[in-house]
This record gives sequence, structure tokens and C-alpha cells, in this order.
Amino acid sequence: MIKLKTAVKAGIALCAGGLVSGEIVYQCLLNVKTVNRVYGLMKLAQKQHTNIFYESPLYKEGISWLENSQAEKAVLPYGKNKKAKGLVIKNTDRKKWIICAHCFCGCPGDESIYAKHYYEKGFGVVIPYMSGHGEDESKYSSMGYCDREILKAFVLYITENYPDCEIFLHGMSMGASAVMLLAGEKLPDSVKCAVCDSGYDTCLNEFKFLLKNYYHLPVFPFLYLAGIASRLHGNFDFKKSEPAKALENAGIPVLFIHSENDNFVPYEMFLREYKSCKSPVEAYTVKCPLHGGGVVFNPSEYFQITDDFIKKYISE
Amino acid sequence: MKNTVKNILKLSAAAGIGYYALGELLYQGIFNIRLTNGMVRALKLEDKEMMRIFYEEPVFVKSFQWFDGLGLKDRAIYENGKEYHGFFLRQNEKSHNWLICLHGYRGDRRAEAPFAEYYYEKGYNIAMPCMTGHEDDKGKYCTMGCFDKDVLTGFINHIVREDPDSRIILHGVSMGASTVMLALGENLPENVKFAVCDCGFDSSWDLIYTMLKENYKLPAKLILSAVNGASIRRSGADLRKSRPIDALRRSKTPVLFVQGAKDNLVPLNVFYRVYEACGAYKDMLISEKAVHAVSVAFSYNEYIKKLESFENKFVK
Repeated sequence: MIKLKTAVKAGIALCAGGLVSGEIVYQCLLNVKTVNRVYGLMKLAQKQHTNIFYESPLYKEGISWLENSQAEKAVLPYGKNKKAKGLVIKNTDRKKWIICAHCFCGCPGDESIYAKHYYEKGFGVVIPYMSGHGEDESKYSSMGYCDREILKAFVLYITENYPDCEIFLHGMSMGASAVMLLAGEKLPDSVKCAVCDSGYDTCLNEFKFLLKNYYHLPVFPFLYLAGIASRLHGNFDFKKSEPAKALENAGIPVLFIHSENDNFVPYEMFLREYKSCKSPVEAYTVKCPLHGGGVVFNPSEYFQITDDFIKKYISE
Repeated sequence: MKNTVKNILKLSAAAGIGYYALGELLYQGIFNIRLTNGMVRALKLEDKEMMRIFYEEPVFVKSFQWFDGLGLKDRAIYENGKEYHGFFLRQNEKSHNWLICLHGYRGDRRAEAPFAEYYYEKGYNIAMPCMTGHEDDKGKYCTMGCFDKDVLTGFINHIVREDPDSRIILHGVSMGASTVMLALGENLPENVKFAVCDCGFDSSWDLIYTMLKENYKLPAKLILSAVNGASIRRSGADLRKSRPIDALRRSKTPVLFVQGAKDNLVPLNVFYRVYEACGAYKDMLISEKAVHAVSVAFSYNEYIKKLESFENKFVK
């Protein structure tokens, strides 16, 4: 009888410990503020590389353009009583639009390089806040899973307001995965094509990579405990977020871009995405070690390739 | 024997939980600005005499009215992958002179109106960054300058990027002054001509110490680490590491120090310590009758004279 009691006690303690550790790992993976702090404490090698991105003249030009553009703030309802917020910058011609999805722990400023380039080509620009970032109301990021709904809300918003518009989607890292998830859904005909810059293939794979290489934790049990914490928080199910699988139903042509020695999203993921996509695909590999830094390392070639791709699907 | 051990364990657990809760409670009371302001308003704890002197001073009433009539609009700037918010007030004609003003703990932008108006009439552009946790900032907790420093450097970089010939003056009151000191410790561009520190404290740790002791009549030495723990958990700001006085030692920017002689939050000996620490060109103004952060109301003319002399020396 006593043994049973101790067994029950031990069981309860184990459960409680599991819940708490799961919660901690969850916070370290998906709470944007905590992640920023953790990365700062760990002084990740990643940081060194991002400095190359943030100190490049291209980025500085981009943010000055964005700060001085007459950006309007749009608030759209989506899902269950949630609000999608984002910046809308109208161009003189309201026919062509680009929707940029920024990266994890990023802000609309990170997308300014692309936004500026396409604005000068006559595109109107939409940069939504991904969930958990910036002015979005939720506290936790969803690694693309809820962001796809945000992107969809903006796609529908633009299609409604400007009926014969042509939209192309641009995503960076987490944003790219959101775009992939969205590409697998039924979209209005106005969405012509998508550019995915260094997205990951499945959420679980990316988290496994992060836990192994950056947090130095065993994947079992921590990732699964974090998954439980995610569902307790009402956030998304890790297993359901599979951009590579969504691409099997993709209805729009996609251009994949990836850095060769990416230290945040491994190159193999890119190959997997590329192979699983059923719609017309193109791929471009940048020879640079920086995650999502292709545009900074070789701007002319980067934009040459994306422009050529877009020209095929969006009329001048 | 067994009982005593059990009792001791129970007691220590209770003490630990109590300590944690007390730290959290005090942290909410001090750093959650919206909560604190609401409480102060509800319990009518405001220093009415000081409020009257500051807000009903005939010289200032006009500037407050001027400020209220401006209808400033929030603007976002992007720096290093972060998004910061603030308010800009530009001259109608192009001007290279800039003033960045920072308000104090529990203050608001409106409190900076006298300085803003003075400089605006002299042909300066005005920038007012949002301090973390105050007014309409998205963050919930104030950080006593620890993260406001990043906002300030972001604004300086933004101004320099837009106009490389700009001449910038930094003006901070109380917590704003300490933020200015922290920023002076970074490598600021040469566009920053001089700074005004109006009764800034030497370290956040000591400030909270005096606050607990004087305002709340608590054994500050015992409780402070609990408050610091809550601060690290909630906002990531370590009070021990946030030391404006050390940052000031590295600075090469001329500074004007202002202090009220009857200040009980930042006493005179702290002020002299701060003044001594500054290695660059410096000057001081002590207002005999003033308490914390209202020196300008008591000795307006001397204040302006000092500002003018600094301007003549460094801006022109």
C-alpha cells in the first residue's frame, strides 16, 4: 500500500516536472521576447552574421525608405476574434501588389529591402506583422502556422478592394514557411506567384535542429513536452505545421532561394521543399553563410533572378 | 527530530514563496507604470504643490497649450532589426538642428513641452521617443533606462542616416537623463553635440533602494534582490548592470548637469558623484528650491542661460 502511494507521488512529481520543463522550452522557442534575450545571452554565432545584414548600406537605404513612406496601418479580422495588423503602402498604380512576410524575431524593417525594390517597380507593398511580433496582440509566435491566416486575410483584403489586382508573395525564413503553407491552400486567382527565401520544411525538423545546435538539449522529451505546452497555451500543433507537405498541393509557381551554408535552416530542408513542390518551381542557391542574407551578398544577381521569375507570371 | 526538520522545511518554503511574491508585488508597484499611475490617481497621492508649480506656471501654460494643439502622430523607425516608436515634430523649413527629449519615470511627453517649445522656436526639429512601458508603448514594464538606451541610439542613428550634417542635442529629465548617460557610453556619432542631464540617477539599483526606503519605508537591503529577480524575469533588465555612471565615464560628449537642491529621490551627493564621473566638458546648474525634476520651473532664466551658452559653444 505504501509503495502505491510513493508511486503515485513520484508520478505526480514527474508530470509536474515535465509540464514545467515543457513550458520553459516552449517559452525559449516561441516567445519572441524570451528568444531575443536567450540569443543575446548565448551570444550566438548567428548574431555576428546578422550584423553583416543590418550594417549593409542596402538595409539602411531600405529602412530610410520605409520610414519615410506614407504607410497606412490596416487592421483586419481573422480566425476567432483575432486581428491581423500590417503596413499598407499604396503605389500610384494599384494593380500590382507584393505581400512581404518577415522572419522570426524580425520586424517589417527587415523586409524593407525587398519592399523598396518592388515599390520602385510599381508594386504596392503590404507588410503584415506576423503573430507574436511587433504590434500583433498575441504573445507567442506560431512559426508560420497562424501567420498563413494573417497573410490570407491580407490577400483577401487586397483582392476585394482592387478586383483585377495581381499579387505576389515574398517570405523570409519563417515568413517563407508561412507562404508555403498558404500556397497549399485554395487561393483567389489574383495570387500569381511566390518567392520563398530560406524557409524550413517542417516545424518539427526546424525545432529539432535548433534544440540540437543552439540549445544543446535532447529532442526527446523536451520537444514533445514543448508541444504539449503549446497546445495548453492554445497555440498551434507542431505536427500540423508542415510547409513541405502543403507544397504538394501548391497551386502557384514558387521560387526557392537558400544560402548554401545556412547555419539556421539547413540546406537539406531546401532540397526537400524543392522536390516536394508540385507546381512549377525554380531554385536559386546563394553562396553565403548567412541565413537569409542572399540579398545582401549579391543584390544584383538576387534581384535579377527574382525579377525574371516574376516577369513570367505578372504582366508589366 | 523528524518533525523539526519538516517544520524547518515548511517554514523555509513559505519564506521563499513569500519573498518571491513580495518581490513580484513591489516590482508591479514600481515598474508597471500604468498600474502605478492608476493607483496614484485613485489614492490621490500626487504631490499637488509640485504639480501646481509645474503645470500652472504661467510661463509653461502657454507651452502646454501649444503642445496639446500639435496633434502629433506616432511614427515607427527601424534599426538593427528592431522597431521603435516615437514622435517627430519638424520645422517647416529644412533644419539640421535636432533635439531629442526624454521624459522621466512615470512622466509623459507633455512634461517636456517647455523645452520642446523653447527649442522649436529656435529652429530645432524635435524627436520624442516612446520610453518603454510608458504611455502608448507596447511593453508593459518600465526598465529604468536599460532598454530605453537602445531606443535613443536608434533615434540618433535614424536622424544621422536621414541627414548626415545634423546636429543633435540630447535632453533628458530624471530617468530620461540616465538613459542619456547610458547612451553616451555607447559609440555615438559626432553629430551629437551636447547633452543635458536633468537630475539623473547614478545607478538603477541605488535609485530603487532609495525609493523603497524613502517612499515605501521598507527594509530595502533585504527586498531589493527580490525586486531585481522579478525585473529580470519580467522585462530582462538587470538593475545591477544598468549603471549610467559607468557609461558616463566613457563619454566624450559635453554634458550640462542640472539638479534641484531639495531633491530627495536623487540626493545632492549622488549628483556630485555623477558630475565627478563625467570626463568630458561639463557644467552644472543647481536650483536651490527645486525638488526632483522641476528645476526648470524654479530657475527658468538660469536654465535658459546655460542652455544658450552650451549652444553657442558646441552647436554653432
